[in-house]
Amino acid sequence: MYFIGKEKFEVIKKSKKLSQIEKAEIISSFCRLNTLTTIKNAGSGHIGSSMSAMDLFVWVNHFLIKEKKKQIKLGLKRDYFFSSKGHDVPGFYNVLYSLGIIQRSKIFKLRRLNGLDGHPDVRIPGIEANTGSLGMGISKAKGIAFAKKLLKLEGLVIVLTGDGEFQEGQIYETLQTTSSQKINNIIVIIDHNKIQSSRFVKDIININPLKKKIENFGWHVERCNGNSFKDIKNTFSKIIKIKSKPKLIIADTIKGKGISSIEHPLVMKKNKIYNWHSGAPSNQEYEFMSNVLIHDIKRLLKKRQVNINLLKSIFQKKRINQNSIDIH
Amino acid sequence: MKKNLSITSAFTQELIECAKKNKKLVVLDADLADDLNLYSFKDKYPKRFIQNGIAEQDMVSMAGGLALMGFLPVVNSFASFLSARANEQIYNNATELTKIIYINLYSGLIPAGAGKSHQSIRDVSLISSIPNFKIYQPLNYHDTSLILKHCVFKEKKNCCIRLNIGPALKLIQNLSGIKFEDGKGNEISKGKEIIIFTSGQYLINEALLTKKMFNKENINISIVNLSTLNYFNKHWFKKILNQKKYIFCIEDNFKDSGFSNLLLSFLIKNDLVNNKKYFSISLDNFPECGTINEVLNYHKLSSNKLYKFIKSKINGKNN
Repeated sequence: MYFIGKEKFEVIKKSKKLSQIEKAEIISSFCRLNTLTTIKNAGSGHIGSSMSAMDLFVWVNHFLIKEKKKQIKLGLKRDYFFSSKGHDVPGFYNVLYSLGIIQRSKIFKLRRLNGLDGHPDVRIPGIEANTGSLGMGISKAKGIAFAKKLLKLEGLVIVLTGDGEFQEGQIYETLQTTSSQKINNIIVIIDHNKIQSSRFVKDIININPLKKKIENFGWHVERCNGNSFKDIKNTFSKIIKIKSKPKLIIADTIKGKGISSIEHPLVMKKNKIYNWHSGAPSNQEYEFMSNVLIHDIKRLLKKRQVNINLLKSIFQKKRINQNSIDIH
Repeated sequence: MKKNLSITSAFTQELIECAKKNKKLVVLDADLADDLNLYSFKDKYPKRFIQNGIAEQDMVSMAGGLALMGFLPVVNSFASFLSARANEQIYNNATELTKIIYINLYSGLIPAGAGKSHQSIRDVSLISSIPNFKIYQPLNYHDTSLILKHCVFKEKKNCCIRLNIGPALKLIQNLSGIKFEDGKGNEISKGKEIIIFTSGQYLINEALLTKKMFNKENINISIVNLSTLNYFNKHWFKKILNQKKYIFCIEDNFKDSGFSNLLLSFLIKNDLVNNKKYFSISLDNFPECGTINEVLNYHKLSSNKLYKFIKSKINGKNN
C-alpha cells in the first residue's frame, strides 16, 4: 500500500518557489492518497466525504490557521476548527498527520482500539469536539465562540458541516440563536457535495434555497468552489473581514473528489446510487484508485518542478487489515 | 437563608453566591428563567447569563462548547424537555469528559395541573443511563443550597439536579437537621422494622403523613429522604438497613426506570437485601392531570393509599 511520510509534506511546506495555492494542491493530493490507504487498511471509513472536504481541511488547517501544531500550546487562545459531520475524519486525521499533530504510529490504527476513533473524539490530538451525531457542531462552536468573547480571546472558530446535515432541526435552532445572540466570531463551512449517504440530498429532503434561507436567519453567506484553492482562499479573505454577522460559506464540492472512479457526478450517472459513502475498496479497486492519485501527484509535482523520488521514498508497503464492517 | 423559601428561590440565591466564587460559572436558559427566578442571576451577572430561547438541543450543545473552554455551564429547562429532547446532546457532552450541571426543573409528577407533556417521570432513567453522571434531588431550601454547592465546588462528574417547583410545604420547611452527604440519605424519622425511601418535598410530605397514621397504631416507621438518586454509599445503607424487615421505595417516576430500581439493584449487588422484603411504589402508566391530591391519590402515592399498601404488605396480603 502507498503512504506518504511526513517528511515529504515538510519538503513541500518549506519550498520557497511554490505559492500557497500550489503547496495546498500538492499537500491535498498527498493527503488524499494517505486517506485512501488508511481507510483501506482499516477496512472501512467514509471515503467520499473525506475526499470532498479534503481541500477545505487542507486550506483551513495548513494555511488559514497559522502554525497549527504550535498553536496547541496556546491553550484557549488557539484557532479552533472541527467537523460537525465527523464521518470525514479519516481525511482530517491525515491532514493532522501531515501537520505532525497525529503520529505515524497512530495513523494506521484508524478504527482500532487505542487508535483513532471512527468519528472524532477529543482524546485524539487536534480534535476539538466529539462529533459525528449530526447537527450539534454549530451549537458547540457557538459555545466556544461565546467563551472566547467572554474571555476576550482572539482566534478563529470554524466548523465544517455536511449538507445532508442541514436536515437536522438543531441546525435551525442554532442558525437563529447564533445571530440573535450576536455571536459573530464564528465561521461555518458547508461541505456541499450534494450527496447524503448514497443519494442526492434533493431526492431525500430538499434543503434549498440554502443561501437565501441562511441569510434570512441573519447570517452573512458566501458561496465558493470548495475544491478550488483559489476560490477557497478568496472567499476566506472576504468573509474574515465581516464582523457584524455570523458567517457561513457554502462550499460546492464533489463527493469522492480526486479519484475519478468515485467522484459523484460519474458514479451517479452510471449507478444512480453513490456507493462510496463509506466502506473500503477491494484490493483491485485500491490499486486502481491509488494509481489515479499517484498519477495526479506525479503530474502536479512535474508541473511545479518539485523533485521528490517517488518510487524510493514516497511510497511504502503496508499490510492490509481485514475484518471490518461497513456502517453509514 | 430563610426557612420559608421555596426550593427554586433557594436555588437561585445560592447560585448567585456560587457565581461570586466561581467566575467560570455561566447560566444557560431555555426561556424558563422566570420559573427559577434566574433573571435575578442575570441582573447580577448579565454577561454570564445566556438566554437561548426555546431551543434545548442547541442550548445543551452550546453548553458543551463552553465546558470545552473551561466554563462551568448550569443549564436550565423543565426536566421533561431537557433530559428527553436534548438527551443525545447531553450524552455527547458527557463523552467529552467535561463537567456540566443540568437543572431538571419541574421534575416528577407534581404539580399535576399541566398534564403529561410537562410532568417528568422518566428523567432519572434518561440521565442515569449516561456514564459519569450524578443525579440529585433536594428536599427543601436548606439542602438545595448544600447540593448546589457540592455540585459547583466538589463534584467531578456531570450533575443533574431535579427541582420540585411550587411553594415550600409547611411540614417540610419545618424539618430540622437536614444535611447533605453525597450518596447518603437523611433519616427524617426513626423506626424499627419498616423503612421508607423516597425523595423530594411532595413525597416526603406524604410519607410523613403516612407515618402519623402508623404512629396511632404504635408502629414507628423510618423515613429516609434520598438526595442522591443514582449513587449510594454502601456503609451508610448497611447501617440504616440494620434490623429492618420491610423496605418501601416510593417515587413519582415510571416504575421500571426510576430510582427504586437503581436502589434495589445496588442493594442486591452489595448483598444488603438478605431476608428483607423490598417493595416499590411508583407510576405504572402515564401521569394523570389534576390537583395535587387528586393525582397523588390516583397514582396511589397519597398518604391514605400508602398507608393501605404498606399495611397490606406488613400483614402479608398481596394487594
